Amino acid sequence: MPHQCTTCGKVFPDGSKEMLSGCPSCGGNKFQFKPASSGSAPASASDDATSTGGAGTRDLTSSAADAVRDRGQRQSHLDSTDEESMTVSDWANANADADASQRTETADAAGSTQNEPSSTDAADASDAVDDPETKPRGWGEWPSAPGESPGADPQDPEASRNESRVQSASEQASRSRGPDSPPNREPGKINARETDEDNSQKSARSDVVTPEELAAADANRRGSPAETPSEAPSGPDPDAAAGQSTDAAPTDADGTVIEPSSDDRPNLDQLREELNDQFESIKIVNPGQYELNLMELYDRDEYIISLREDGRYVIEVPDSWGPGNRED
Amino acid sequence: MGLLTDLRDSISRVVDRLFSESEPKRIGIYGPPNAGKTTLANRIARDWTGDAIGPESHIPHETRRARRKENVEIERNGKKVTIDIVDTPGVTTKVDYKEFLEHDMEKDDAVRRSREATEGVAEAMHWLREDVDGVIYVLDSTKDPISQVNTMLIGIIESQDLPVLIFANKIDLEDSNVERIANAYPQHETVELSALEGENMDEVYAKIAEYFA
Repeated sequence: MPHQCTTCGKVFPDGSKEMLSGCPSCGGNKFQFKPASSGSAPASASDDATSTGGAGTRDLTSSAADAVRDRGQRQSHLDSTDEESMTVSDWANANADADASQRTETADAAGSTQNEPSSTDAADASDAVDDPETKPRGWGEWPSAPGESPGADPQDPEASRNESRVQSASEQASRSRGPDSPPNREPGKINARETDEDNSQKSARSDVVTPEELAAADANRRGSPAETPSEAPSGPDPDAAAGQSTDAAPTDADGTVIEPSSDDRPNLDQLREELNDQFESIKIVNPGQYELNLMELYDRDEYIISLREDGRYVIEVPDSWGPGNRED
Repeated sequence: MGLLTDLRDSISRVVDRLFSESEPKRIGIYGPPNAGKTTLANRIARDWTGDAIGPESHIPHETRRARRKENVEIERNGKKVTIDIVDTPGVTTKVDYKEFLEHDMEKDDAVRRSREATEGVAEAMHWLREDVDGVIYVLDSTKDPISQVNTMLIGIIESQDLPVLIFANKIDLEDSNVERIANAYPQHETVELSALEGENMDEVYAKIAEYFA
């Protein structure tokens, strides 16, 4: 149960398009993130994401991400082969007509690497969460309009319109694995991870997989139920945090925060790592320390605008933006 | 024929005026942190409306929410333009609360400011994509203009075909080097100014009226 709407409790798999356009059931845009387990979660996040089209969209945006990282002289061994010579204008033009809904995927694609976020200072995390001023500010006040959100319909016909992009991006991903990794392989003759990648690519070309398919795939892969996430070593007090958040965001439109039971509380490092994988426009290095991917922020319709270390976050949804909400 | 031409011109003027008055151009003031965006926005707003837009500070990321001043009428050299000025948070690729600790800020405040600044960058980028008709890009002329943020933002602005003016700010400072900015972005017009001291504002307004009319 990686993501759960805090308003109505609807559960979404990792990388769900529905979730990123606001909860289709109630319009809420606050979600609780619940990694499955420390061991299998990173792999499953990646697999699930690519199953829903993440492979295609991820590679398109990663070219920009690469440019950012390269120019920033950060450590990077990403698949930035062709894209390195691409200028900002070229990139932006190339993507200017692309349907935004195709970029609502957030998870890491198979084969891509991310700089690992540094480990969390538990005391810092506690500080940040316990601080009443760290609650989401004015951005929580937008009117919600879930029905109008582009991409809210998983069967969106526009998905097929961009099939070719997904295809080429998948090829890019294949190329990036190296010349000795042909894109089409016989499943069953390769290891489990590569099987997942091929399945993911296939799914990405067709459409969104159903939750049932995901569940079946997970069951096959893991063969055992996910472990209960471990308790955070000295994490924030959930009750205190819940109280703050409820005070901060009392309206239905804003989504009411449901506090997870302490049993479900994820490991903070793991949580941050997975969120960074899925929402790479803003990377939380540590509380108070952020790295921003300007291209992604510019390019994407949705992104996390408020993130708490205990797993609650707010996703900005395009239709909720309006000039009238931003006047001081 | 002369009468018809006059009539047509007259109608055209009325339509133009109606259009410009009903839909003022929204001009975003963009740039890295501490370039003087809010100082400029306040200068423009005070000169033409009498009101300020927001607080200025030497501490980076003072502006963490986009602020807007509507219906600012600027007239210069017979050209008149009505604009909404959007003062945006400084855009950067890294925000670190430790930077604020140097300004005698408590850690809690610094962490909060950092978080808000990050959200502000996200908001600024969203405005750029959705809500601006033109851009004033403000640079601190005492600093190297070629940076990742500047190159990327100006590239995005160009890709959007938005009209853009580059303002080389802080020419009142000794280290100011306007030429360096003009050479870095020769494809755009560079206007030098000191928003703080009000230097060269005549040319600033003339260019705004010319570019965004």
